[in-house]
Amino acid sequence: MRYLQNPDIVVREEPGEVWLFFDPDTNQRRYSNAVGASVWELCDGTRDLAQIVVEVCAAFEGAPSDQVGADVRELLQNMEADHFIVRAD
Amino acid sequence: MAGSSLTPTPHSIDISLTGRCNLKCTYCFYANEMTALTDLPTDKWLACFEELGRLNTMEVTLSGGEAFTRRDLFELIDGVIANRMRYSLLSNGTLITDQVLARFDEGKRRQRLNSIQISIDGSRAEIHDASRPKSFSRAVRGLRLLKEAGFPVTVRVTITKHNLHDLENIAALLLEDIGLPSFSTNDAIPMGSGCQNEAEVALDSHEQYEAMQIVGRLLERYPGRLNAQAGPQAKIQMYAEMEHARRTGEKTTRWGMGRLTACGCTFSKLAILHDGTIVPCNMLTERLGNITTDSVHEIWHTHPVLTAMRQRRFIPMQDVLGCADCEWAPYCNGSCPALPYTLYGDFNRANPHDCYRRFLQEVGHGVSA
Ligand code: SF4
Repeated sequence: MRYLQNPDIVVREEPGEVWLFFDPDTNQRRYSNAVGASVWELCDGTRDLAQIVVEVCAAFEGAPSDQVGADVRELLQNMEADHFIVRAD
Repeated sequence: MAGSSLTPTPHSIDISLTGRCNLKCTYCFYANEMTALTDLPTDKWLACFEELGRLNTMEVTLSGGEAFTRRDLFELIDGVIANRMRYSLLSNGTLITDQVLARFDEGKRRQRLNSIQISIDGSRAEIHDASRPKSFSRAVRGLRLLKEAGFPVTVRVTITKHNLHDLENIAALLLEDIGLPSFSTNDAIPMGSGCQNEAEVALDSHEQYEAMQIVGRLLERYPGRLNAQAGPQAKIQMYAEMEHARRTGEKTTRWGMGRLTACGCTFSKLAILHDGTIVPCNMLTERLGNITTDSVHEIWHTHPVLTAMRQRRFIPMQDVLGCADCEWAPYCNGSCPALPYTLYGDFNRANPHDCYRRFLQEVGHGVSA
């Protein structure tokens, strides 16, 4: 299953390498780190979980792939629950 | 970058959409700008909202003048929504009717509305109208309509000489009769028409103290239901914290005591006047540029006035003109820079309206929590 960003979501890089995700429809705000921001960037409708994990591992060299896989899965679940992303298929 | 807490782009923008108003309030801080500047047309505002959308700004506060005098108000609100922002409205409430409220039902207008704030300055016409002429019944009607229709409505009471002794009745009207969960207060300051009418409307130190006592009683009667960012209620807290810090040596972490740290708005906010002039705040109208010709992003990062305002927090109170010999300087933050800027043309001065030393000299005793 591939993931796609909700186009209404605002993502802001804030001071201190923190990313703020803002849903203007609900006023929900969530903070994330650089990994969350890259996962979000990769949700362009062309990639599934496995592909996103591969790309995040490449971007964050040295990170253990099992751990990255678990973290990315959790991030995607949370982002989907918050309607920050939707399923593209 | 002037400080590590500077956001890459403004989180929010205060926008005066129009200089037109159907009232002529005695303390309007915006009165001078209203007559001196002309309104931007719809397309310029829509282009501005597109720029703010590209900057990932999250919310705007739309005011005037009176925002509801703009025929294109809902078109402008739709422009805000199309650019992924939420919005709040500040209004005198008098133009709010069932027909106006019905227009909020279209699209996401209601979903994206954070709040709509109505100004109420008296529990009856004779008091409210003393500062907000001939408007009480229409303002209260607008307020009731909003409340009954379930809008996120808030009320601001500006404390003046006219309504100081009516505050308890105002609280009863708003909290008991109309049933609002809470309301906020501030007080009239000598800016705009408040400058010409200062003697008639603005509280002196003794009246400030009386207002603090009344607000204190109201907070006992209605716990948590009055709030304030400025004015007597905010000053009770600020002065009490200064007293506490001086007595115990424990300084609050809410603001940087001993330096010109108030306020932090320039780290996350900007304002735009109704002709498109970009300013640090709609009360501190130092011109930074205009949205029709200048880039908000560039101004945010490079304008020397914003940089200087962000540097205020490094200025010790002892170095501020008029404060060098003050025993309260290690516990003071100088308060809002808009008034000293208006009075002296210098935002690196302390706000005389909030000065605790002056308050003590005039009232003769201090404030405890
Ligand atoms: S003179 Fe007033 S504003 Fe200046 S430090 Fe003292 S209390 Fe604060």
